[in-house]
Amino acid sequence: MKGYYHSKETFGTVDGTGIRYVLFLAGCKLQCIFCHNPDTWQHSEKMIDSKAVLHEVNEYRNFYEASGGGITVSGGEPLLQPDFVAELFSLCHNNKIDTTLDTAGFCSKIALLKVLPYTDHVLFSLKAATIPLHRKLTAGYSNRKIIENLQIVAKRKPVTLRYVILPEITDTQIEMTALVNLIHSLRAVNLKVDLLPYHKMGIEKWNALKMPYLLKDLEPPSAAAIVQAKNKLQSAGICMAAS
Amino acid sequence: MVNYWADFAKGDWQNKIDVRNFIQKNYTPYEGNADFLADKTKRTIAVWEKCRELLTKEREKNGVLDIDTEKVSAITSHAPGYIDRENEVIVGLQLDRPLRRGVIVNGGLRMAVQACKEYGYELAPQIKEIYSKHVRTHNDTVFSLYTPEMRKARSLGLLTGLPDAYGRGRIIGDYRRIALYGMDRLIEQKEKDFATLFAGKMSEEIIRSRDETAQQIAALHEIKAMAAQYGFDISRPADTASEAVQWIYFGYLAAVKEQNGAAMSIGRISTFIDIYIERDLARGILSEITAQEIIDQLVIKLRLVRMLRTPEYNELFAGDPIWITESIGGMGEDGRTLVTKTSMRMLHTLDNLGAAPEPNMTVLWSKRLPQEFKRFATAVSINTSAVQYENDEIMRPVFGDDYGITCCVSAMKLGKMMQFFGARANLAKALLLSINGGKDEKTNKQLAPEMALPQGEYLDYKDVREKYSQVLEWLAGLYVNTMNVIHYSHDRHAYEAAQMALHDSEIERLMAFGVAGLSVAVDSLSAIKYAKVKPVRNADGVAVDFKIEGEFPQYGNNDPRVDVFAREITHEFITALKKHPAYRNAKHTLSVLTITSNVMYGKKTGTTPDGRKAGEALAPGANPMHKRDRSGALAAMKSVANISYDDCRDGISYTFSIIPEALGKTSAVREKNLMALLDGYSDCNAHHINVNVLDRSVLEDAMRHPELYPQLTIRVSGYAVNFIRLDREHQQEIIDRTFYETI
Repeated sequence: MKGYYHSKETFGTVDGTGIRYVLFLAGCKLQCIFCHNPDTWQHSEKMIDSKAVLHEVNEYRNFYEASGGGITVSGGEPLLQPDFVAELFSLCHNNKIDTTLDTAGFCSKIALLKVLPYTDHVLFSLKAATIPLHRKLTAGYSNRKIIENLQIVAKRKPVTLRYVILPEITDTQIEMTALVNLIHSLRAVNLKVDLLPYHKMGIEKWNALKMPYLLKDLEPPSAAAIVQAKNKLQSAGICMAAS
Repeated sequence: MVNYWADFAKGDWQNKIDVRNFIQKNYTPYEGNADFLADKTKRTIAVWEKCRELLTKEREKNGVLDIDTEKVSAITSHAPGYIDRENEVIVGLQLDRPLRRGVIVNGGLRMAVQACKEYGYELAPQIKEIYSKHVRTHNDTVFSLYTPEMRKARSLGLLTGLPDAYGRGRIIGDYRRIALYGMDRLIEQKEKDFATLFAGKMSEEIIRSRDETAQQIAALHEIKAMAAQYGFDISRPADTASEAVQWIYFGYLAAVKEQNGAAMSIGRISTFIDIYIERDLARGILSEITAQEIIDQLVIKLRLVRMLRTPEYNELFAGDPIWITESIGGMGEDGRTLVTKTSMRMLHTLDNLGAAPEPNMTVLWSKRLPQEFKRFATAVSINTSAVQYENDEIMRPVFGDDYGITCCVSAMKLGKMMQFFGARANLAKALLLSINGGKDEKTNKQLAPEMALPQGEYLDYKDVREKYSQVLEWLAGLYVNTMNVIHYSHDRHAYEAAQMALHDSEIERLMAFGVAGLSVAVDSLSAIKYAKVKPVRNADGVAVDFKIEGEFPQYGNNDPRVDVFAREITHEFITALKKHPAYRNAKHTLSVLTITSNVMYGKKTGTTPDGRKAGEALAPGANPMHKRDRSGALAAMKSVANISYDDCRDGISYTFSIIPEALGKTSAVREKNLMALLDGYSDCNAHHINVNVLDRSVLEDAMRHPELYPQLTIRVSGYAVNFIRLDREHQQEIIDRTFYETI
């Protein structure tokens, strides 16, 4: 079947292990105010067939295998098209291709459960651990459903929890404590945290879409701020992803 | 009598000149890690510091520190020169002082005069007099032989970068022979060849071979004399590692004193030298520290080699390159790796001395190379951007396991093959000729034979494609004939006696043709076929612009609809070239390589049907046009890999630039990913890749503050350059080039 997509990258090296084919699906409702790909929120008529994706991945297979990579489906929010992703990942599994799902978990439980059986690894982007901040950073949404989905994922699959450090917004005492508590409550089988420093590279896309960029005065975090946040998590016994 | 070959395994190499056999019998493959490597010594630091000061001065003096305008450079023309005599472990300079440039005039007087003038010097009147009144130069002869059509194709930029005013270069003397056999044995062999191979009926060919062999013998004597000036007796084989390196370097030094060839590779010396280092280590007369010192100091010497060039030359080949290519690694035909500890020592000079464009470090890549070596090479590559990779898996079946790379991407069997360098034909311009009835789009002059204009308001693919074939057919004939003229003349006036003396007397000759503007021609054909292209013609009927309606697939996205053109055109062109016999029965080969000349060729090419505007740079080598490869690096690589190495035996160059973050998050991951990238690329039967791991912002900052980046090295289409020595136009072109920076 076909899915709405935004773009594809044959040489992805930062969304999962090794070299990966990254398919960016189109469509996302969270609309985070720091999003660096706001151009993926809406989908156009651009579609791609799952078999065509598999064919392309096979084209570059020697590169992916040599590096221990595979395919990553990102977005947008891939779980808005669960049937497509499930079919694609199942095709990949039949062809012994490693699959990684890059999601913010803002979807129904049913959607998630459709895709999870064919998923080897999940990159789970959590925007905020507390509800008020989550509302502020997204288009007003609570993170309740997202956390429920995170619980499901963490019990079943290896997860890299991605968390963007927005200085003095997501790394405050309150937020970091909430994050630590949340991670502890997950009792995950294999969870690592990847702290991503906020960057401003998305601004041009916001301008091009003629949308106001609310964070234009926010500077990226210092290296020290990242280290501090990392230390906080590590001292709470949380594993960090290599970076 | 000293037995210089003591402790070496015996073999055929003792009875005949056969360096490969010596290597195979004696080398020690190394599969371990890089932990054994040593830092630079105090002596090396002292010498390199002096050089750095001189290099800064050279830069401040507009890129040329000094010129000897009084004496023509030759093997024994100048008294010995030193940088810091007591600390130099390897000695020898082209002239009597470091970074001083010599004039070599047999290529052409005008070039020597102009080059001196450009830097505020005046060539000595007596030299001018001799070369204008009494000695004919290569340049004089070529221009007297050129037909009007050749001149026109040359001046309008259809055939460019032709070696008709300077040394053709691209010949690699097998400098290892000097170390292994000593000069006397080599002279003896040549004398034997002279008496037996080239005797009997004195045909023109035999006479010429006799003449050349006689010149070679004289050159060998001169090399010996030059070494003696430095206090070394190289009539005998080298006895130690230090001597082996010194002997090799004397041979190389003779070559660069005598020739100002565009590319002066050193060959494949690391593994050969390793045998001597291993012997000395076993004998207890060398340590790892002193072994590294010898290699570091050889590399310092190579970094100081200079040629005197004209501004026109610099415009083509920016950054003052010599292409002292050293081929490292690869696999042997018997399955053992040719990587040795000295392969690593050679790369390690980039750590010890910092990044630099020379020597042109070229790793012969195979998936089967030792893992630790791969890791080390990619780590050095990521840190310095000074390493290029070429696919040993596709070259070894053609050239065996003792080949070297000349210039950027051209493989040759060492000591057994030479090549006639053929610069390149501009395929983008050729396409415009087929759209314009054979007229040059810049001047409206008739260049190719007159032909009808394509019919209809929009360009018809079939019609244009047929006309393109006619143009390529004509161009191939003109190109071969032009090369034949050039190399006849070059052999006559600027024969590379010293380098050819280090070859077998009976050799295979290649004639290396080349193409530029491939991706522009390919995308233009795609536009004509898949979109609608309307030419806007001037009063002479020449298309000065093109209106493109609709989308078309572009080269660099692994899209077979367009990639097929790249394969098809290169095949068609080499097939057409082969129809015309090459001078001295040379075999025709083809490269897709521009070095930096893509900027210059772009200037000479009008607006093309792919949407590229007149004067804009062409893409370098086999690269897709800037920013048209939108599917990521692997898709671009597959497009490049689709061009057949069977058709392009002289090499297919691809330059890959990426920001560090896009290669992976940690250095371990970056190394792993780069290794996988190279393994995958090799698996696709691709040929060559330059790797730049750099931030675009670093380059931009280096443009503003060159003084802060004296050693910033980047790779450009087959060789490395010192970024700050490029002119602004070339710098900008490199920055504009596709950087993979998706994160």
